[in-house]
Amino acid sequence: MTDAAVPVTEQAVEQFVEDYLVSLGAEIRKEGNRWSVLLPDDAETTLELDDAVLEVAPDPDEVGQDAFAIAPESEFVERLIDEAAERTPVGSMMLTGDDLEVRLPPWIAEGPAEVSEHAFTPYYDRRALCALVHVGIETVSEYQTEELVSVAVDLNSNDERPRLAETYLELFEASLDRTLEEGGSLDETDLSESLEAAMSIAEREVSSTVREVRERATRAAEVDLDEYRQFVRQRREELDDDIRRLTRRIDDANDTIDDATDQQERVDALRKRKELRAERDDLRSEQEKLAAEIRDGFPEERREIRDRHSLTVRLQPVAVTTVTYERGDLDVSLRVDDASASRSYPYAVGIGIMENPACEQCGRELSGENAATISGESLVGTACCER
Amino acid sequence: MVSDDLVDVEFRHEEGDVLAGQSGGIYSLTDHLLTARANRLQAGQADTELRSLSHLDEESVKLLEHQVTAAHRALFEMDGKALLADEVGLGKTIEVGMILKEMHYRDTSDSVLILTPAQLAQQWQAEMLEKFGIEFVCNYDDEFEGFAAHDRIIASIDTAKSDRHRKTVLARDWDVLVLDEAHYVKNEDTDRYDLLDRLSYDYAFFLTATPIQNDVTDLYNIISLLRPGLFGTREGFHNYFVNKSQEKLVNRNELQKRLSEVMIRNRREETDIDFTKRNVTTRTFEQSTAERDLYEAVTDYVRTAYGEDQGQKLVLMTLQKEVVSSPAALEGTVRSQLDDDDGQPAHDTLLKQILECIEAIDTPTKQERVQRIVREAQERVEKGRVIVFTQFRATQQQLLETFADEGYATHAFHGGHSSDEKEEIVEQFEEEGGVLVSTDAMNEGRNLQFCNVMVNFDLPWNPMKVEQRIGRIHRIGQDREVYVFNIALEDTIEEYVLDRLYHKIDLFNQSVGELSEILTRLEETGRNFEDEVFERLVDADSEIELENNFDEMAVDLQEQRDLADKVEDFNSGVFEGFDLGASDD
Repeated sequence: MTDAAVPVTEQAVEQFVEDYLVSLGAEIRKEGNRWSVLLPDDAETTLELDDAVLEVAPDPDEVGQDAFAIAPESEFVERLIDEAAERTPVGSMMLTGDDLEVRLPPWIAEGPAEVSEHAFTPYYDRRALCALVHVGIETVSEYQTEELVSVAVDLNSNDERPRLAETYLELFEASLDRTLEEGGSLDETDLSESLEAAMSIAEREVSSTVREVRERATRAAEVDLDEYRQFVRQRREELDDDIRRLTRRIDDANDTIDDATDQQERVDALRKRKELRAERDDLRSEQEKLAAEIRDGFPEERREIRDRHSLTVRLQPVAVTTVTYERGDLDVSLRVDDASASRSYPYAVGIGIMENPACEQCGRELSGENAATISGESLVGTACCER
Repeated sequence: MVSDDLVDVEFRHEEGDVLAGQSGGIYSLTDHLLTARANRLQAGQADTELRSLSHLDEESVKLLEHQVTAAHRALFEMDGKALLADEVGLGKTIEVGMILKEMHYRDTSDSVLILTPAQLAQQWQAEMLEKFGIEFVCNYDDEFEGFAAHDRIIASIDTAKSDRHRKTVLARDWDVLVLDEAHYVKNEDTDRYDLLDRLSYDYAFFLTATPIQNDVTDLYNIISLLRPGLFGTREGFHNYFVNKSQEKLVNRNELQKRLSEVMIRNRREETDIDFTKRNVTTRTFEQSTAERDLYEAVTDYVRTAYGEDQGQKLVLMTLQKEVVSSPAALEGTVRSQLDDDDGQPAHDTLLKQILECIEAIDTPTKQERVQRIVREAQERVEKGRVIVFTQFRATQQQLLETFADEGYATHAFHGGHSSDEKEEIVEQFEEEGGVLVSTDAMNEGRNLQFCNVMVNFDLPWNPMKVEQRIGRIHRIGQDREVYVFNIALEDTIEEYVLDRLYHKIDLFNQSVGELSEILTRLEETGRNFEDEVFERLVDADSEIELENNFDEMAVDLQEQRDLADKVEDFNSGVFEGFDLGASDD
């Protein structure tokens, strides 16, 4: 899973606040830890920052009443991040060979071969949809689990582009000191199909987390059911006792009816017997209901437990970016000691060499574990064919 | 919709209107990247540094790496519900102190309830205050007005479960519950378990060095209180983790995985605790005739008075302790007994006889001998610093005078000083050297590693107190060997306690954790150490019976210690297997 969450450190918070305020057109004057902020009148924000003073501090409580705290968990920072998080969820960008360094695959980087020369020749552009998907797993018996995953799919084929999903995250960091070019405009209908594909990938990415949460919820639900089972068993025993007690009292009433000399006494006993029988019938019917429940495996209780413990996994895209990236060939010259070889591979900016090549002697795929080396004039695997 | 027998999973894709209205629009890439970054920060872990650490007084508490890590994990990785199961002596109380300090700092702990075995309650109270500056009310305090009246309470678990308090304890929603020696709440059929099961709390920290006492069900019960459902049903747990035919654990990897969600166990060998050597020497001296007369007079009086009125136990116990400390200490109590005329002329006669015996003593033997011990000890150490402990202020006064007469720089430390004064006294002692004569008011937090020689002029009957005294100098940060001298008079209660009890079971070499385990076990059998010493003394009609009584008590203690060792070994074995051993699966 490509986890997109970043630690909320003091430094990250400080940098973000500054970048966001600048994007609103703010003028910031810094004096030590205190910042004076001037916002233009038309700044699109609900933050009330006219002539405000901000103060950078490790702990919000250390900041006086006269200033807003720039600190993890400060109320001001949380409001600012909340606002920024919803501001511009959709965007587009262009990635060219000049934006990113050539990404060497593990089958070169982890082997003995050195790259003596390389050159990328772009032929055409491809477009992909990259997204940050928020996943919330809600359960009653456990804590809420939240994830943010990064996913990428090709806009034409909807094929997954996992390496681009990783690069996508790096771009946010890189953007601090580099200007990326904006991509072309977007078409909602074109995007929606790819977005749905991206969501399905995100669903698959969190499946192991969901499985673990579900296992825990199942164990908790089993405990609930077990407790109910014990309760039913106990209740049945109580009912048995109560029915036996009532039967004895009905027998006593029968005796009174048989032996009564006085009519009033007999009528009272008859009335009493009727009450007792009705009471016993109620208990028997409850007993039968419990027996049926046991026989059927507590369907109603199961339903209630199921309702109570059910998991809802909500997936929501919070940032969607169309990325236009260059496709072409990468010409690479490799050298191992005195031997050298040059090859050309299909390459995409942000993704790297599109497919792992095969060992030129035995055909086994080259990889980090079977990295490339040179034998004669051939590129072979260190694990399969190196002599 | 994926369906399972008991738990359904529903996936909901909520694209919402994220794309709506975006068609053909032009957006600022900078703004968009900021939105993505904001979402990444929102999803990120909040700052999880222990912020309160920088506010701790380093003089009062020295934190170790494993303790900081444990506190951090319990708070931030286990969501504030954790079983702290370090091996004995690694500072679980410190870990909880840090957790509570941090929660206090973050304002997440308005109401805290700490439940402990009875005899550890006050020790917890002192440690929380001295080391972490957190004030608790203890159920033994005069100001304690019940469980509804205070927000930070330390109480014995048996007080909390008593008919008098149970209802109020259960009526509250506690923010934090701490349960010390959690293994005593392992049995689900007891009132203690029932109380814990019904308590309402948001965060809970349970402490034990031995989560398993008899079998793995103990673990199931304790964990189920913390995280109901983590182990599923009792039956399911047994079937899955215990091989019934061989009575051994199976599926250990899975057990370890689930335990790691809720349990932290540090082992001694993994930490960097390194204590220097502790040398304990006991010197017993023959009593002078006058001292023997005094001792017998006091013991006779105590036996007689206790036989008549057991309500006087505390005073009588004090007399019995004072007689081996100093005649000066004894005199004060005897005189106030005489002033509290209880209308029993027989008692007055005996008390007056005691006063006569006191007057007959010229210089007490212990006082003479302590000079020599201090002189010897001083020759070995830098600046000649020696701490002499006594239980009584009158003895302290006399010792100070004697040492001053001999030309030593002297320092007095007792409960009557303010904390600033205490601070100053310790600083002067460090700078000037000489002899510091202290009562047991010298608390846990005092940093005295600069001194490595200690004399127990008299001995508390409770071994925990002896260990606390030694702990003032034999602690983390002490880099020299530590010398402890015990002084006792022959054929007195002190000699019995020392010889028959402490030495026989090697109490001087036990850690605080080991001792508290032994004493808590003893308490479980319904006994209190000091009371037991006293009862055995007054019950004996002859010398032989007295010896037998103390031998019997030593056997009991040894049994508790063996049991404690056995359980500890068993747990080490089981949990070592978790960490290092291969799975049996």
